[in-house]
Amino acid sequence: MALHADQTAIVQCSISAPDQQGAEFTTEGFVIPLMVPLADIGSLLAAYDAANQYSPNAEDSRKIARVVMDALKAAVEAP
Amino acid sequence: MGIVPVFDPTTGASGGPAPVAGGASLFNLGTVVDLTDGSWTLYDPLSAIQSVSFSGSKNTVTFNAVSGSNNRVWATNVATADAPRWYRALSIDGNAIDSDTLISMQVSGTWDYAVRDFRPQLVVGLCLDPTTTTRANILGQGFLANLNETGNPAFGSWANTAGTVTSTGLASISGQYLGQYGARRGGYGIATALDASDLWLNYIQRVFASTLTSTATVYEIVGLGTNSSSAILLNDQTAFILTTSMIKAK
Repeated sequence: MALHADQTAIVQCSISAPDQQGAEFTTEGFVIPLMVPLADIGSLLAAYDAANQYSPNAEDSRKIARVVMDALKAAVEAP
Repeated sequence: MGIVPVFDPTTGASGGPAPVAGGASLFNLGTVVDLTDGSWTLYDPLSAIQSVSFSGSKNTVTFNAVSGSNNRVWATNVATADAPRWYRALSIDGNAIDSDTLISMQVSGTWDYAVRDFRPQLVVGLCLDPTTTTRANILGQGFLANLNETGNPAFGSWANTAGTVTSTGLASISGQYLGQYGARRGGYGIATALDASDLWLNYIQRVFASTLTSTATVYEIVGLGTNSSSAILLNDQTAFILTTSMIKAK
């Protein structure tokens, strides 16, 4: 899986919008654009079970989380 | 050797082509929004607006009492949108514009910071149905601005059921919005917050990924509500300065 965060496009802002489950939220924070390659989407979604609290698997979860955390860390620590 | 025209191609007058007429200057393109100039129609399902005055480029709006509700918020996914709004059919150089035409819009706005009676939210841009309380049918997009009784304002981008604004941690004074709308699609907008010296503080962006009905009349809209579910008291006021530019992009 070759997930990427677009580090040059991270911005701090406040968003009011429906979230991924349709719930309204208003929050100030960092927007981190994530690029999920088309080549990986099929296998990622095939392995994901939204009804299973242990899905996605630990390997995919760690990869996704580390991309987000690395991007966030770099954005917050940027001069 | 180049050919230099000696007559104006339109009028035939000698001296070559006439300079571009006033109002088309790209150095100062915006038109000041005057909500009292007779071109705007108010749609106010709650009878929230008591009066509007215009002086020195500034619109001052006085409210009747309005109960608190998220229905008065513009940047939200709540089904009902009953905040007051002014609208007029979009016309560019006398040409009526419909939703098949791609429009570039620029909006510049600022608040009168001496008038902070409640928590207003302002949207300025384009839409398809300004006279409905069904939010999903407004299909609006444009400039977004929030103000509270204290603290910094926020400026950003409105996309009918959502909005993004710059951080209130910044001492923003004005916001500038640039977006595209039309060609049967909601578009895209970016906004920049400027400080008191008109220097950059922050920018944000938002996509409005909605299909627009074909050949529908496009309206300019100035919507004024609240940025939270807080109430508006009788005689509460807010004041703002807006300039807009609408350009046929394609």
